[in-house]
Amino acid sequence: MTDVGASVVRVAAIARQNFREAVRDRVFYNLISFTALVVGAALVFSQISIAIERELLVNLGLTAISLTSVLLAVLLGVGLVAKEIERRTLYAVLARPVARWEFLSGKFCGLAATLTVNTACMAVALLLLVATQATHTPAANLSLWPVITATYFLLLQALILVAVALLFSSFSSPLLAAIFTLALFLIGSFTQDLHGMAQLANGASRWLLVGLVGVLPDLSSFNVIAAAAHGRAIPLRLIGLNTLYAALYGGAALGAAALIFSRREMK
Amino acid sequence: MTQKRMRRAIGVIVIGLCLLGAGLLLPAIEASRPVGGSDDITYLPTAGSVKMMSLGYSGLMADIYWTRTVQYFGRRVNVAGARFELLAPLLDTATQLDPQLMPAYEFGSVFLAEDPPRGAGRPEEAVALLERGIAANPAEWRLWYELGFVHYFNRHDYAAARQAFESGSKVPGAHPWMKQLAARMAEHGGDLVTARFLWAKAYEEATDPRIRANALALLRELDHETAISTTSASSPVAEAAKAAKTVQ
Amino acid sequence: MTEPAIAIEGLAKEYSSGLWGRRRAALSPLHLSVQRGEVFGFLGPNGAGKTTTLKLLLGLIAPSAGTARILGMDFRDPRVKSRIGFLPEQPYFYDHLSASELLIYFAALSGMPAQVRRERAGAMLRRVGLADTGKLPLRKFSKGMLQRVGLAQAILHDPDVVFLDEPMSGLDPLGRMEVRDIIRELRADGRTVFFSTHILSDAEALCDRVAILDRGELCGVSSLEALTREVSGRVELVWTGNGRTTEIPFGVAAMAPETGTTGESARAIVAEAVSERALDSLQLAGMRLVSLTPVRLSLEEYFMARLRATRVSAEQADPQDNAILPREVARAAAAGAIR
Repeated sequence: MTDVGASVVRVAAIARQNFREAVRDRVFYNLISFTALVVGAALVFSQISIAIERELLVNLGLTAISLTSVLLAVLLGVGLVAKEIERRTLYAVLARPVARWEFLSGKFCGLAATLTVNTACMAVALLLLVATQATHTPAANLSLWPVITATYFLLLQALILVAVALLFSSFSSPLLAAIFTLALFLIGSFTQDLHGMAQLANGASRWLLVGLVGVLPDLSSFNVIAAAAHGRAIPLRLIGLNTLYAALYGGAALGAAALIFSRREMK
Repeated sequence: MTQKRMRRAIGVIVIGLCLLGAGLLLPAIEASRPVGGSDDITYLPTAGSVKMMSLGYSGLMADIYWTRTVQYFGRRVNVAGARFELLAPLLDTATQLDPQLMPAYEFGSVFLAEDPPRGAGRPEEAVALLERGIAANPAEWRLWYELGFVHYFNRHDYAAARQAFESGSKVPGAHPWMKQLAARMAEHGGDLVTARFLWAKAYEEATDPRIRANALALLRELDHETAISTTSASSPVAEAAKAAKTVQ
Repeated sequence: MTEPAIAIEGLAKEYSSGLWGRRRAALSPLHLSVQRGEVFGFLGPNGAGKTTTLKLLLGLIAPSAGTARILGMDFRDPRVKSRIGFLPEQPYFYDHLSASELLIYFAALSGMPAQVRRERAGAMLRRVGLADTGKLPLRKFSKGMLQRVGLAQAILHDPDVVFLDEPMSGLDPLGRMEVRDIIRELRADGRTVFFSTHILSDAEALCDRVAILDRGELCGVSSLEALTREVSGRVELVWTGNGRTTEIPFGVAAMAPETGTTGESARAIVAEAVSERALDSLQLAGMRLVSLTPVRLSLEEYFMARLRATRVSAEQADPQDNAILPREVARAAAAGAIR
């Protein structure tokens, strides 16, 4: 077997193990509460509001998906490595012919798979609800593509956050890493305003802000919930660009995490 | 071990390139968004709901909304046919989140009051904004000064302008020339000398370099007008207003 | 094939601790070599640097100085990893896996072909006596069972060198017997076993050679055989009353620090130099000598002696250290460590 092939086998084994652990740890139980929440809220609100049932349902559902996926990404992401160190399982793994970057990639892929399945399930539940609602509204509104695209963007955002969580947890405690990652998520959602401030500033502070905006993740373009709620089409070009952005930014965070992790002392 | 170091260096370079690539994508992403940028806000939450969502950090939210306001204005100013529908609501939100946010009153009233394309051409809304600001900040004589400015130049209501300058002059710590301004309004409502005086004060008082430059340009314009008005019979106020429009 | 299984060449580890990064040596430059096929015991009280040494050898932490060779290769060589096995101290493993799933996972990481993983996992579980755990998740395993799972994963891929960190800790007497049996089997297979422990009886029962580590310093290396061959310069006398009441003659009692009677016989331990005079005393008293045997050193005595010798010299070299850790405390600590 080639080196690359052997690497892939190991990364896949770690990813599979991580996914299996998440499934057995009842991570997917959140789906039940998610569905109950969205269905319940939709029923209640459709009673009291007029003409915006669909918008409301999509807004509510996508917001819930966003919050769920962000929280899962951050909370599970910071524990990926810390838990293995704490339980010394990592020692038994690294005593085998497993490179540290392979371990990290495997863990990332495992959580990515978990989040993908989780988000897909939530999206299907939401789409079913929207489809039943759509019978009351004109056929023009029936397009489900914006909702699917919005969900895809939310998944990309969660994957970026997993990479960031891995980066922070590669050199700090899980609690601090969770706080850092959530802070970055909040700042990342406001990068538009940072952009604005950068344009208004002069001289050195301007370059500082421009640099900051470059290093921080720009997550605002991953939130197209409002557009999806109004049934507006999301340009194909944006789908491609966002995918590429997520790959580049997530790759950079993951690479930095691997670099730091490869030098980390397993005390 | 040099091989290891080399691999590490390559790693750092690749990470840097990824980040750079991601950064270079941002303008393209910005351009292809369905909901434009933040300058194209389709709906604006009420100040109350923003305040609630900001969990007590309304000062920061006010700053963010003020920044958005500046951007919103900046993208429309000097653009023919631009509309400023959201300017007043944005300013309202910012100042309700932080009623002590002076720049929002001082600059905001100018943005609102100036005629298109230099501003929104809505002096009534500027007056409303400043009056709310004065109610919230009775110790700030400068807000009275701005109010008088709007009444004089944009609304040509010299009586109201006089009243504003007079009220402002009574605020403790107010500049002495506020009294002079009030007196001038009574005697020579619309003459060029008064306009020149006001702009001269604006030039002296301003700390922002852009405002100073603007005031200076207007002053030069006015000096030019004064020279012409001795030979022509047109209304000095109209001339001053025209000067204000053409400059910049 | 003359290269030793493990050759530690001056491995050292310093940790910087505190705000000012005061450096503290966890392991002073260590030189040690372990031959192929040896069962090597790495002894020392808690915190002596045993785990640090193991972590260094496995590349979990980076050495401040020195290097090591495992099976003739640099210890950082990735190829080493497929020929060694490691049992971490008190492993927990993944809560939701069964023992067999865990072993299959580790088999995949060791590069075993997919077809043989399940079979191999089953064989290993039988070997450590866990064949009947089925789908039981690891979180329901007892400490002893987990330790055995840990052993199974360490020897899963047929490694040439097995590193075991405190393999007996947390085990009941039966569990310890089972682990001892597994280590003996490994030796019978010709594998090298390097294990750390603070339980001397385990080391005494299993090891070909031992090294004693204290506060990051190597205090002594010895083969167990040489150790037990080595006499302490004392002899044990056993005698009976020869029809009369068994008594301890005054001449013997005066020179023997340790005497006692059990039923018909009496015993005394005296220095070899005075054994002739003791025998004369016995004869005078009319006692009948049953045996005279030289007293051999036990591992415990060796351990205590080495520890004491090193600590005394360290205290002399560094009087400040004396103030922090008086000799009595050190002794109590060492005694506590060997239970």
